[in-house]
Amino acid sequence: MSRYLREEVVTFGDGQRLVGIITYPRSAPSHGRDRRSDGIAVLMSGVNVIPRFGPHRLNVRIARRAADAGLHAFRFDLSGLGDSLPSMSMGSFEEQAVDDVRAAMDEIQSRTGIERFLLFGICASAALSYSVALVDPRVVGCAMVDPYMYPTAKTRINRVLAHYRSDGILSLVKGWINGHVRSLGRRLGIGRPRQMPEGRDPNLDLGVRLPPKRDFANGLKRLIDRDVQLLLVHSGSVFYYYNYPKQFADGFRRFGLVGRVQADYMPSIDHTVTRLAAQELLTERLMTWIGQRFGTG
Amino acid sequence: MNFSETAHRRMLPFRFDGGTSSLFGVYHEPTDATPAREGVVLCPPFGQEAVRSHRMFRVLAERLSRQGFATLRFDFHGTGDSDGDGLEASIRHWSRDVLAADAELRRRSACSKVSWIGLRLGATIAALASGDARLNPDSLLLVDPIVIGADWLRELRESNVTALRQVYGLPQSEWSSLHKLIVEESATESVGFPLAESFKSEIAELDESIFAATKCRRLVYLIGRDDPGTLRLRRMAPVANISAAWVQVPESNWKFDDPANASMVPSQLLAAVVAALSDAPA
Repeated sequence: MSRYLREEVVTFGDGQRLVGIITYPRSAPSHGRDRRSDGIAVLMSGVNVIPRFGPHRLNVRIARRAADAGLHAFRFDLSGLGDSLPSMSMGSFEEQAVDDVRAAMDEIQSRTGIERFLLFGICASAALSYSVALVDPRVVGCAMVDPYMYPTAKTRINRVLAHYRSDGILSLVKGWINGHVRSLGRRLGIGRPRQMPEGRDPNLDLGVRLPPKRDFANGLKRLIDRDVQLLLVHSGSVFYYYNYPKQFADGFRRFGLVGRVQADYMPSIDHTVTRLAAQELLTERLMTWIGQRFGTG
Repeated sequence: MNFSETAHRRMLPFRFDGGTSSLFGVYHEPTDATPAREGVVLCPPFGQEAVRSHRMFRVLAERLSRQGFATLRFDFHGTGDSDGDGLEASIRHWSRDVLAADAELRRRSACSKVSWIGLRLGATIAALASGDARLNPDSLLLVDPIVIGADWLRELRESNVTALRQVYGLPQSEWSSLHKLIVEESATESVGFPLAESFKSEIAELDESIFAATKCRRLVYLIGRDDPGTLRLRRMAPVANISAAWVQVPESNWKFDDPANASMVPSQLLAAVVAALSDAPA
């Protein structure tokens, strides 16, 4: 037997446009179909222009760790990205991406019989996981790194204090005065209107369109009511948006979500999970959470 | 058969035998020429440079396919979607992977004439592998090769700190506590990819002698920016029976880890590579 796990390259979806890799657990039969309708599979797409193997090959690490724990894993490219071909559909990228993830679930289901899926994603692919979970009942878990974030008053205070520690009181006073001068100028009609840097869309946050907080809370509640397990991980790179362990609890208490969503703050990992120690930390956290919530591993 | 089926038939992802493990590859069938005009193996760079250049390699392969070349791109052992862990990185092993990819391309395409294109460390490994090839590559196109391994190791260390400073984006007070740790980690990893001691030793041994031992009919260096290593190559005596050419290309930065722009497709470089291959005199 090879010391490496069995991995299979598949093309799937409409016209076999999409490309993915299935990692099989050692317990899976080496030939023929593995009918394990009681199991779950871990699904991961590429993120933005990073192909299916994930930032710094993180998706490969997670896929193989999941397979070691007895789970099937599937990493794949969305339409037009990585090695997948573009779609002929006229829908938006976001709509197409949801269809692509559902096609990935169809593919695994038809090959293995598995009907329950756990989606893992970072940033844009975390937002995608959430969108798919809302519309597809086969999703039983979502693990999202740096998903939608909503700063609280304490987040802003922490931000200011960090600048104070970095640059001293003079810099803070200067920033405060500049802000007020610009604001006064705008009110008098002599200043430039407030603009996002580089013409950014103010509704976009880290490249992801940010839904109103209430909508996100309601979406999370719908998922919880469906018994979807949720893990939100916030990295050290999003300091300006999320910067203390209880931020989710503070921000979502009034929506009744405290204790119903696992929200972690992991300042030692960065947004694309670059450091090897961070890769290991996140993978271990994910596998522990999967084990606790789904009784695997 | 719809458009997608036709396109996929020309771009086939698969796994192939790399000797001791299975390698991931994508075969791009030539669009019109039957049989293929010539085969081309694409050798990727290391680590974050491989992530950044993934899209460029796909576009390059598609362009070559339209020019009638059968093209194979692949992941070295322990990288991308191939078997193995990053800690198993080995220049000697990867040199054998180039030979396995060459054999796989010849088998699939039935081409007897195959050229290799390498980027950064992939270029250096291609040059190294050519010395061991039973069937030498026809043209060897080396884009910004790593020439002096010791210099590159220093660059890998520095780029790790620079990239992480950028990706954390923290105020100085928060960054200070991480900075020391990241400097220490830079001895054993670079921008998310491990640097095992055995791999670093292999890198440290790299120098211009690898390029002096190249075996092919035609050698083309495509250089974005001269560094001490490429200057040594330029001063080197010509290799017997190999016609060598130098092409100046726009400088590209393959190192950095910008999450929103982790991939680049420099059009002028692509055009230069395709032209250098297409214009090769028989």
